[in-house]
Amino acid sequence: MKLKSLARLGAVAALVAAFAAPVTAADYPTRPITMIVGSGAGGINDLIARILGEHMSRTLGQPVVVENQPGGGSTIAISQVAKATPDGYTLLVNGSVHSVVGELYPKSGIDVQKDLESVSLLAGVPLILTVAKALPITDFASLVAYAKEHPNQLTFGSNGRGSGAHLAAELVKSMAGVQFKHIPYRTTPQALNDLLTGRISIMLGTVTMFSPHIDSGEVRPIAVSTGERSALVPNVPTFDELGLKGYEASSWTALYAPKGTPPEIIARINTGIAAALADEEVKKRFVQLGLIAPPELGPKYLTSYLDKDIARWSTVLRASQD
Amino acid sequence: MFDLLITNFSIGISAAFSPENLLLCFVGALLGTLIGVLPGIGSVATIAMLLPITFGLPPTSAMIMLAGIYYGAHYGGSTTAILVNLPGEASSVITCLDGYALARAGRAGEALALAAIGSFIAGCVTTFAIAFFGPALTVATQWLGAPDYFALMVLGLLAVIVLSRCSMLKALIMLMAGFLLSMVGTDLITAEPRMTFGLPELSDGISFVSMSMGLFGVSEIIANYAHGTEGRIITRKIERLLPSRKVMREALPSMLRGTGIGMFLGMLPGGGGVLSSFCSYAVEKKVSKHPEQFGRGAVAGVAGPEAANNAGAQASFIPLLSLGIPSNAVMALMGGALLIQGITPGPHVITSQPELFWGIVVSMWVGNVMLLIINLPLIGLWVKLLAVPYRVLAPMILVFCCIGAFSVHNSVFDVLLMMAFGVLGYLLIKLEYDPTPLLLAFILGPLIEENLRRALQLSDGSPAVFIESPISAVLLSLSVLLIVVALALDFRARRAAVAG
Amino acid sequence: MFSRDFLAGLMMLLVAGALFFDGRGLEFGTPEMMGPGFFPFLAAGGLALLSTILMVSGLAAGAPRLEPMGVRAPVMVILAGVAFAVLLDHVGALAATVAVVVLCALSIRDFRWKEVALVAIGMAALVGFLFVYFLQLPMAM
Repeated sequence: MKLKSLARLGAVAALVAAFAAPVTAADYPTRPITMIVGSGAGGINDLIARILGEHMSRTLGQPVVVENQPGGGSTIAISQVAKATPDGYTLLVNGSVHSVVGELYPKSGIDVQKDLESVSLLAGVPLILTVAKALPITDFASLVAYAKEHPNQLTFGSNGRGSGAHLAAELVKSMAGVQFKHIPYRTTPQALNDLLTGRISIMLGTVTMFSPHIDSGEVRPIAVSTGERSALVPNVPTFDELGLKGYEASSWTALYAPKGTPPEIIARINTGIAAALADEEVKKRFVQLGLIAPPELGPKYLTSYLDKDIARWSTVLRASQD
Repeated sequence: MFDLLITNFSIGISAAFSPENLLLCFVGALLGTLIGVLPGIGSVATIAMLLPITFGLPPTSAMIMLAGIYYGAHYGGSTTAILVNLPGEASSVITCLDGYALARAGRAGEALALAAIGSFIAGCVTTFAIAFFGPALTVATQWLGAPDYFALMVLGLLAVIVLSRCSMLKALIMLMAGFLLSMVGTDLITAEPRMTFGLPELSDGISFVSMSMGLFGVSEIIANYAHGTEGRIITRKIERLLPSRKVMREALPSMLRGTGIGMFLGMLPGGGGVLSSFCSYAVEKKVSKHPEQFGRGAVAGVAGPEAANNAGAQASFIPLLSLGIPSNAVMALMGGALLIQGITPGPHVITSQPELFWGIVVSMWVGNVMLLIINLPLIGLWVKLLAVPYRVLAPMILVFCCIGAFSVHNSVFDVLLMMAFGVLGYLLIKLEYDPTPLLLAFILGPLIEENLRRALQLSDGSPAVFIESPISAVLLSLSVLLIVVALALDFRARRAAVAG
Repeated sequence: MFSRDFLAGLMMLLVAGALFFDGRGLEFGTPEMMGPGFFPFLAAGGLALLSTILMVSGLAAGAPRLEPMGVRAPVMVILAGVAFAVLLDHVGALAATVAVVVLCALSIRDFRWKEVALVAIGMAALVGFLFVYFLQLPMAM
């Protein structure tokens, strides 16, 4: 009894506090901002959040606290932020899995388009397709030819169903009309290890991860997943150049707020993001991590980007259901 | 060969012994010890939190500090395991068995000192072994494929038959239960939720921290309260703080064996670190002249696994620095830290960044000296804690457990889960089950399942892969032999009992 | 009354049953492409089988009985955990800490108010400073 009334008292107190301090965009932020990351500490989304958060703390004048809430393919973090007060103090940083949670976890009841407001894209990570050196495959044409001659013998690794590496490879499969067998791993490094020793045939991953192994000749680069070539590996062609017209499948990270967050607050956060992305130090770290800044900031661009992405991957995922 | 080694070491010494790096190494080791002592506050969370601070440091300094936190935490985790039966990290679960038994026998000081000295010796040996063979050994582990990992994990799992304190049937039941509980969560291959009872909090599986703290720490509190022993203090007489020469002579071979086991298994991805402490315990029990002492305060049962644990923690750096492949979550984080510094971890690090590689290797040794300096004087203080009446100590432990369980996923669900495991642990004590096989199977279960499924996926369903790979064939034959021998011994013992 | 081993087997049989029941819809698959249910079914089946053997062996005459169990202590410790969880979410870390200390104290017969108050205040101060202020764990004061 006592516990219940205490809890109720607490809830009432929290509500009073929320209403007593009306949300005014003019003074935002007046207390620390929490960025909840939908994946584990040390992953790429976490690093992006920490690098930008550190800079935004300075420009917005309040500490930006990064919290990790991994689990359930980020559904736990999404639900948590969706339920938070829409006052701009609880934000979500999530990767490209954001566009497939609805498809992968139908039981979670999450609809990212309805539950969250877009704030802005934060960064993109170009992926590169590589093959194990033991295979007689040197370029995209020989990859397609080999796959057609040896149906279902080529295997590709990824860090799980619905991950960027999985989706990008599924898109290659459907656009080039070939079959690869999906071998999911718990983490990317495990898959990389099996690629280096030739246990799996091909894999899509970040350019930074692969570049030392490309240099030492352990894996052969085939194509990059972005619309333009990557500055880190300028001699590797894009899929688009190789005949998969319109192929584009980079991993990306974006910032979201609970539904109903005032647009003035979202605009204010965007000024912080813009300042961070313009900072030389931040730019340097982005290059070192192989990240590219988004082509356009702000909620409008992110919303249209997300809508397109969701539509596209749902089709691909449904086609890959075996 | 030796010339090169001396050059390499001098590069490392000049990097690690700069005043700034010495200070950072000390700060890292101290911070690591502190978070290791606080149950549940893991090294992953701490390193992630401190990552932005290291942005401004040169790469070698940043890595030296973060590495200090990592092995400091491994070290600190055994302190609470020995004092209050509370494993701070997965690798200190096994230390609870004999460390806590020693503490209750009034030998907490000795147990803590053995852990400290064992870790130190392991640290020294591992540092030199890494300098000599590190890169060569990594290549060897790289060639282990899915069938080999499967076989290795099966062998490790069967080692529980050796190390269990209860009957073989009960040990197997615990093993199966741990295996089953490890499958709660999201299926790796299809991303389907399994046995989660519709709870999203279980979609990432049962939190290991909640489970181990519940089964060991909380159940111990319940048992003490239920038996009315709460007024007592854990131990009355404390004979000595440091082990006698005789005890040290007895423990030294165990420490060296543990070091060897830890060094090799620590490099394996996934459960390597945990597996090394369990394997060392099983080996010590097997070679001991007094296996019946294990679980009741065997010196070798603390010295061996603690050495293995620390050797494994250091060896896990090797795959990251020489191949760019992190073997656990902390190493993945270190890889991230290196990337931010503009260094891509990979095979070229040793040649292109010799001061980084050798600086880290030498700083491991420096860090171990510092850990010894930090920890030996603290033993006196920790032991005094045991003179506090249990009714005062228990609520404190419980508060730390709750916060520790909470902090893993920042979720109160894990606190409730820990309490449930606390009650289960109490029931297991009353029903004479030993929870150790359950925890080991819980850790190894996903690795066994994952590697078996992947091996068969890659071989198109042909089980021949397990015999075609020589490593897997040998390990699986050993496993079969182990079962046959154990069954035969069990049978003979029973027949003797019937005849007698 | 039943013997200790019979109850031990029964308990694990229930665990196996509960997990099997929740996972009954999982696909079993083939050896080449094992479904998500393959391992859970094997493990649950193995656990059920071994538990049954233990139960049967516990039926033998002269099997040891279960020692008396404490009830008050487990209940109080559980309550402390539940109180911590609820209070942490709705009030804050200090209240949650005090609740754990007080509930723990209530489970012993000869508790001393002064001692409990001291521990509660000391722990609350420590938690507030160390975890909330210094380590910045995401919890309210």
